[in-house]
Amino acid sequence: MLTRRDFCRTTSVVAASSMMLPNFTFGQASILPLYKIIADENFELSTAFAQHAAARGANVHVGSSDITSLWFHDLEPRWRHTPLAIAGLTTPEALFCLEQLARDHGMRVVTRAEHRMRNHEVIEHSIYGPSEVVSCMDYGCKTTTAWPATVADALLTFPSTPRLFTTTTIAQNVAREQRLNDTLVSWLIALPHRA
Amino acid sequence: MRVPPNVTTKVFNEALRSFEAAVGKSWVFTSEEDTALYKDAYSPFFGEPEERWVSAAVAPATVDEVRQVMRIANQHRIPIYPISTGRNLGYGGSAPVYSGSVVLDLKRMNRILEVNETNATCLVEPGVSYFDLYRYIREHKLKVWIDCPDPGWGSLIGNALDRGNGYTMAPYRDHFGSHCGMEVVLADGDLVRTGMGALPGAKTWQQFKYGFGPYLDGLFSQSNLGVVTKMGFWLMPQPDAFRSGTVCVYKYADLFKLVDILAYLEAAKIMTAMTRVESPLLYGAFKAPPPAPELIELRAKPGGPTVAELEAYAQQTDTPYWSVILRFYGSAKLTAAQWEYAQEKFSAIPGAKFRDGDFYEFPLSDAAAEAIMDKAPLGIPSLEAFSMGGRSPVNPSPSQGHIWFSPIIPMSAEAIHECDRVFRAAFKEWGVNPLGLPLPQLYHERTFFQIYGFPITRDPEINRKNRETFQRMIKLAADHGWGEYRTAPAFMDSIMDVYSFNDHALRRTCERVKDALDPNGILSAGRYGIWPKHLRKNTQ
Repeated sequence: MLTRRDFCRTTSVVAASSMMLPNFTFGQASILPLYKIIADENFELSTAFAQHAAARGANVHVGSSDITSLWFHDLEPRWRHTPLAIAGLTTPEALFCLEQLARDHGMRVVTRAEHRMRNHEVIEHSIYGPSEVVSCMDYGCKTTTAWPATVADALLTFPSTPRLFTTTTIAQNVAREQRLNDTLVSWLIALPHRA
Repeated sequence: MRVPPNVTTKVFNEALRSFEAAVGKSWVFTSEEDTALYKDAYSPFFGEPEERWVSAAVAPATVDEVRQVMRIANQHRIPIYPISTGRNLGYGGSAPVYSGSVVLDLKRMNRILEVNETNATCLVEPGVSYFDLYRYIREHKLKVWIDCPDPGWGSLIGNALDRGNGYTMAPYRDHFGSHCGMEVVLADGDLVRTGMGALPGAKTWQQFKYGFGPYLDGLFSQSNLGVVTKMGFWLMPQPDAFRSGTVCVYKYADLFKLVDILAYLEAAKIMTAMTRVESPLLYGAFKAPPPAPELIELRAKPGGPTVAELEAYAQQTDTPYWSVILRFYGSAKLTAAQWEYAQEKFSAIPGAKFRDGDFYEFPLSDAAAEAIMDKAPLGIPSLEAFSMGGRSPVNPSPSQGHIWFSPIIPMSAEAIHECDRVFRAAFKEWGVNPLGLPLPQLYHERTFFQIYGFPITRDPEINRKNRETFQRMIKLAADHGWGEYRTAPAFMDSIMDVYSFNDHALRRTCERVKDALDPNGILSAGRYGIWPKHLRKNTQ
């Protein structure tokens, strides 16, 4: 059976091949390695995201909304030597801090999505990112309401050379346990790919 | 590529090539993607034509490179805007006052040049953040503390030059006041060291502030007269202990004596820590639990509760009408004696109660430092402030940042009441409701800062209305003798305008100095209302 992860990996190849860029070569698109997946222990859906990522073999950090300790003891000492990509599903405030701090090491937010309730049943995912990520999210949201797992899959299959960036909004009916009381953001921070 | 105002594309391109030769091609940024990063993250003009933009950014690594960049800019008349780490959020961030300027990004100059434990001093470059110095001190197990703002991710030099402040004790929490010696690149590329630094081989550059002759350091604070490339600071020797305690009083009129005694203790150097007057009864206290339902009901009473009703509730529930946290640094014995003395003094207020607070002995392990709730008074930098602004039942619509309106008022209960009365009436008349720290902060010695916050939103109409309110508050405050201590670029001209003694002699004098030190007017045009000659009376 085609899993969501398989779909995302496959889609990244399909999307790339459809673009017919001058430098494109067929083959499995390479995935950007991630140093760590970040989640916020105060939000069940964020911890669910992290659990799914961990089950996929990712290195995860589930901590408080205050990213000070994560950054000071973990990220900053590493970023000084190597700008390692990270991804997460956190509060917008946590992303704001990480985005500002990552800039000092040449890194940017290369994809971001805002997840918020449109009404009490429908969640809206407003995404900016490579077409591979968007396609993965789109497929995932059609096949399951466990959207944090979909987000994790999308981030874990982020291409190392993203090409076509796009913006889209996906609306999804979700069961009670998948609903948000707050806005969360998913994101990936990495060195920007410059063609 | 966008070009600075009054500069041709040809000239700009020549300047850019020269910048590249000076600092290396990879450290000159002209793409939209890169220059967009220098926008003010808390811009009150988000998405509007007045939003400040950057034409390019140049990131030198050494003083020599800074000098070269300034000479090139001077030669080609390129407007330059130096930033340290660009984290002056709420006060402009990394965006220039004069749109189209080239940002001189000093973040690469991030060396901690010296930390002298014996003298309790340091010498740093502009790109050194409070976190950087804190890490250095911890790693080297030095017995000195930083004093940092909250959040603590900014630059020591940047914060001090903007006259920011912190949370430990005087004089360290006055960041400009605790600096000692500077090195400055002038607009024409000349290099000057102030204080004892002007004596080659001086051994006291970070110990004796004044050197010889006129004391120039203040010229480079909240101004645009030079690029500071090194700055020394006096650091706080690590105390043996820290102790805090809260003074609680239960009557409305107790505020008068409370503030008078607080002022005395500060001036007598018994208690010189940053603190704030709080009213758990009226507004709740910092980091306190939410109020009881009965109190919420009392506060929301139509027409407002009477003083008698509030005082009765205060007595019945042991909820202080007013309170103030006192913080002491020293030995266990000394701090205990200081707290005891403070209690003696405050006992002059009938019914005053005292609550022992925290007690720590130093040094703290990393784990113990991590576990402390209120880190800033212990010189521990943190980013927790950002997580506190998230969405919550008491903050259902978190903003995209904020700007602060910070008038300085006298340290007296009369001033607190007058300020509250004046602004409350104004807000009611104007139909506005700024964010509030409703009671003043003791950020600098001898005065209170009354702070109001305006959220930054993604709605231009709301932002416009907030800016208008801010402008009205500037004028209203000035009419009552209250001026701001610091502000965002959007309001620098207006605030400089109200410091108008003797036909704006302050600004005129600054302009004369500006014309002498920067005749081509390239450096941070418009910062704190000081414009170069060719742009005077021609503000954005």
